[in-house]
Amino acid sequence: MKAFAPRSLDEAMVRLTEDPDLRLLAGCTDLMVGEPEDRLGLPGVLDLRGLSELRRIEWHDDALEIGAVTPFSQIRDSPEVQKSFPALAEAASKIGGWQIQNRASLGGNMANASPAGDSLPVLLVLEAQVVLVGPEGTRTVPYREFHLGYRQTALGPGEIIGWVRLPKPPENAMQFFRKVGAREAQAISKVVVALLADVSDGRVSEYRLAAGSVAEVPLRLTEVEKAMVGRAAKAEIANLAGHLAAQAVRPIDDVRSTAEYRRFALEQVVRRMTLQLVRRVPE
Amino acid sequence: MREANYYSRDPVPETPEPKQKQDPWAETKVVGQPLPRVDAYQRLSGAAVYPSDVHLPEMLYGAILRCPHAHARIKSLETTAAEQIPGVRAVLTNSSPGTDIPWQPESDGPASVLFDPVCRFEGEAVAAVAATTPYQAQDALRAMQVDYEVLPAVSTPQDALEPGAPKVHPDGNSVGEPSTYERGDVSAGFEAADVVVEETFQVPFLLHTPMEPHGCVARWEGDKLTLWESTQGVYNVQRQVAAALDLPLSHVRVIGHYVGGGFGSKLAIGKYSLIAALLAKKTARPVKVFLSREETFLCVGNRPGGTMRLKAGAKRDGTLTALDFEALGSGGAYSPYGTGLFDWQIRDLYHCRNVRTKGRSAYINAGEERPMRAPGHPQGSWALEQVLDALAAKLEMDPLKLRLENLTAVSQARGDIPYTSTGFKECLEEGAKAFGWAAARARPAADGPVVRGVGVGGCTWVAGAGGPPSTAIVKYFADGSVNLNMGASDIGTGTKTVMAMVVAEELGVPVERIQIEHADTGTTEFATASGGSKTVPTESPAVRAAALDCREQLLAMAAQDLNISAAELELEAGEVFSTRDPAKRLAVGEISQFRQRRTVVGVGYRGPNPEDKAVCPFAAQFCEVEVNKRTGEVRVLRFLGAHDSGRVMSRLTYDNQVYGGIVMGIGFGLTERRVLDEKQTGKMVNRNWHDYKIPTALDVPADMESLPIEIQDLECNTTGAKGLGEPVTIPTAAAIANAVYDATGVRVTEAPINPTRLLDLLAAHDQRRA
Ligand SMILES: Cc1cc2nc3c(=O)[nH]c(=O)nc-3n(C[C@H](O)[C@H](O)[C@H](O)COP(=O)(O)OP(=O)(O)OC[C@H]3O[C@@H](n4cnc5c(N)ncnc54)[C@H](O)[C@@H]3O)c2cc1C
Repeated sequence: MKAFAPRSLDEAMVRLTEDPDLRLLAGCTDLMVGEPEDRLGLPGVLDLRGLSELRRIEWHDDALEIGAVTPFSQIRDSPEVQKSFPALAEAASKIGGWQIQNRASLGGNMANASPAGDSLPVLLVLEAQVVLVGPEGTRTVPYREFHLGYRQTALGPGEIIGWVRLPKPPENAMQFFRKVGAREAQAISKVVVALLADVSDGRVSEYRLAAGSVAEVPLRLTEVEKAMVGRAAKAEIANLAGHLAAQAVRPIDDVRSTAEYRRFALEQVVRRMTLQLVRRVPE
Repeated sequence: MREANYYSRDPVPETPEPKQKQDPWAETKVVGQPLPRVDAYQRLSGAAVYPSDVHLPEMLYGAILRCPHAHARIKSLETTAAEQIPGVRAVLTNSSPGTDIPWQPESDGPASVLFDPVCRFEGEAVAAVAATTPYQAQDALRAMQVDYEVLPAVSTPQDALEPGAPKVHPDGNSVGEPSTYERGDVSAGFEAADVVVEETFQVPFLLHTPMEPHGCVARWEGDKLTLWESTQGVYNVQRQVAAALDLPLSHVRVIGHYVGGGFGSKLAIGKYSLIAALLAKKTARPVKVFLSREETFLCVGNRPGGTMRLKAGAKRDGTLTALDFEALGSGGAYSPYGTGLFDWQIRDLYHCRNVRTKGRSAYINAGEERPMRAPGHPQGSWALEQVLDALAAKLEMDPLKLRLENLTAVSQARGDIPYTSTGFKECLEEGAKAFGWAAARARPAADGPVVRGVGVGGCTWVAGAGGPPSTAIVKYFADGSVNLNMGASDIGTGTKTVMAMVVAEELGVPVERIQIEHADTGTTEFATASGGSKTVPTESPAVRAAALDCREQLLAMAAQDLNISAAELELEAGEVFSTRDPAKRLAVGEISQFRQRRTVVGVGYRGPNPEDKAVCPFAAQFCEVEVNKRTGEVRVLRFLGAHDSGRVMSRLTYDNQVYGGIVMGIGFGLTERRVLDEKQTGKMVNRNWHDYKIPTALDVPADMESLPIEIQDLECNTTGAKGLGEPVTIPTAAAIANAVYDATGVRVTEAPINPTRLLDLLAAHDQRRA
């Protein structure tokens, strides 16, 4: 099996152009724990971890750029992320455990395209842009249009995820993240929820809600969002938000949870977040 | 009870009673101190060589082909392709010469052979290979072609006993007559009761999952075999391997210096032990067979689950009048001990004259049970401690008080013989005080969605007395340093540290100057396996006797030089001195006889336990939990373990056991269960640490307290120590369930407490109240 560890993005592109079937690898926390059969047939691998362009957290214009191979521990500990995107910092601190966070990358979480990826609902509510690097140059797609289906993404042949751009969130907006798992660490979510919302002049002025592990892909719950924006910020709306959220999803039964529990837990979490929003108490 | 792996039942003439009269320790200088482990540096730095680290020149790697079905008959097995894989040196199947070895995991269970053509559980050994690299060995397994006739499988004891159920063994699935126990008159007891509670409970099958997988390295020199095995008892491995391969005991040397955990699953050998030996014989090379993590989930033991029904009656004042218990469980495909010891807590812990218990076991198509940290006890405790709480609720009595109302000084299950000591009352009372039980109970209920509650559970442990045989040897060198030789394994519990402290106590030698040789049938003395919470009470008196023997010899020699009676001499820090006239003293190195001999060797034996008395540890554990009524999540906020295990030999290893046992109990209470695909394939669904959820550091409260209840026990043995390693995990899960009840008013009878189920129960509870 061939293995490459390019030192620059250009070099990586040359390799990929020559051999578009190379499997990309970052932290390997998905790749190496999957079925051995999936790895045995690989023609070769391209290790992205040496690419400094893909391992960084920095502001560009009005967006924070996070390189695809940046491990979650770095995201979790970044003062920039903590300050402007607390929901992402929180999600990063809840992925696997410390060992996993030291290896697992944001790009890997996106490319793996699991319905349970914990960073994904956060990317949805932050309205992240994904910069894809390919042989023909780069293109930018909204994250919403990136994750197409169960383990399916908009990545084209020979393309890699370069970095994500997180637009500066609305001033004063609150961010929430909550993961419900079987234990406090090393647990794939039964449900995972992110909310970015704001209240002004006594009314909900912004309400972006997303949830994972409740359908084949993480969902933006637009029905709930539409119903919330413009409403008077009173405790009563929390019940409505929870109720609508539970209706907007299509969870399944599996080893980790029943569909019913997922729906119920989602309802409770959304209700709680909304209550905190109207009371302006951060989690 | 199957005791062969814990104790020897035969008379043991070769271990006479200790020669010396051993007074109980009054005050100790070293014993009881919080000393760091003698091998802490080796363990932490990675320098310790565990059996799985053993690497010998020319060593081959063995691997075992395992049946992927819960129940199947092998129609044909084709190995030609596997044999042709480069690096493959040997293939073993049931047609290979020398493999027709009887395999009977339990002496009273069904018999089988090493490679049984009928595989009765997923993970049963089908064939084996040895190759130059582990990868080649795996490739060879993949290249084997097996034609299985897949048979219908049965996954639960209930299903196994249904008429028409698939048969695990030709004779059917019933293990035999239920085991029963009865004392007093149970019906009369219930008639006399003012309140009666009856509940049905369910407990899951759990897995030991020690950090170091099971396995060994085998090497032959001529007709002598050496095995480096990850085991709790080298002498068990020696006996079982010698019997299986028809070798003299002297030709089987087993070394197990370090063990990365066992929890009972490494008390006996596995098929891997014999396979390694056979492969090594066939290839004339050392062979290493260590199982993969997944294999350790499938086929090296589990703690039986099942259902239990417990009915209890009490008087208004809390006096228990009757207990009636029934359990159904399974020891898997081969072990008859499905519900073994489930009932022990019910029989022995609380005072009750009228008790009846019944245990039924059935064979199922799943891996065989092996003793797991207090076999049967946590299961029974889950039922008993919850039923006591339910009684207390009905009586409107503090659950702690109800327990205190039903104490006993005699072992009722053993025909009312007294305990040498019982600190159960103190465990409950002092534990409650240190925990702040009364204040926590008096706290007004929160009305928000996040509520708190406290719970208590008590326990005793059937074993924990230790006993003969055990022989220890202490060698005192010319410079006052010491070598201790004993057969016992240190399974991570700090055995070596505790024994070094005993030697240090008697010989006045610093622990750092003591070297320990242990767990090697070639060079160290006989010891039973480390298990049953009996290692400290078994070995420490033998070690003490050996140290005293050594001391007496030194003093007798010095007495000659000093020309005074040995009785007035003391030994400390390499010097012998007269207690009457401290000016009369002599450095050990100057004792003339000792200078001629260069070493003094002391031999110690474990004496018998007191007759007609029971030696048992006791405990009470207290916890506080937080329940999120919105999501059904339970968080354990704090735990306190108050344990009477007699003398605290080493405070640090003691506390480690308490914390570790609580952590394991939290897993039983909240997250762990083996999941079989019951309805369809019977295969295990969660065969790794990701899907089988043991608690992580974040699931365990930072606030854990160990409160030793150090009751002086002058009768149990000459060091006053009783077992600790198992009681620490017996009442934990039940205490959590009781705390959840206290928080919510809902009793969860099914372990582990599952948020989905808890939400259903909470909803039903709210409806009832509305
Ligand atoms: C014990 C454990 C616990 C876990 N817990 C969680 C959890 O709590 N929450 C959670 O969301 N996930 C969890 N995971 C899953 C995993 O850690 C994450 O999905 C992680 O983000 C994957 O990142 P990686 O860098 O390790 O990806 P890799 O395994 O290296 O790659 C994963 C996939 O992405 C592709 N890929 C990687 N980088 C790129 C790129 N830049 N462009 C295009 N394709 C790329 C690879 O080809 C591969 O197909 C856990 C995994 C383990 C083993």
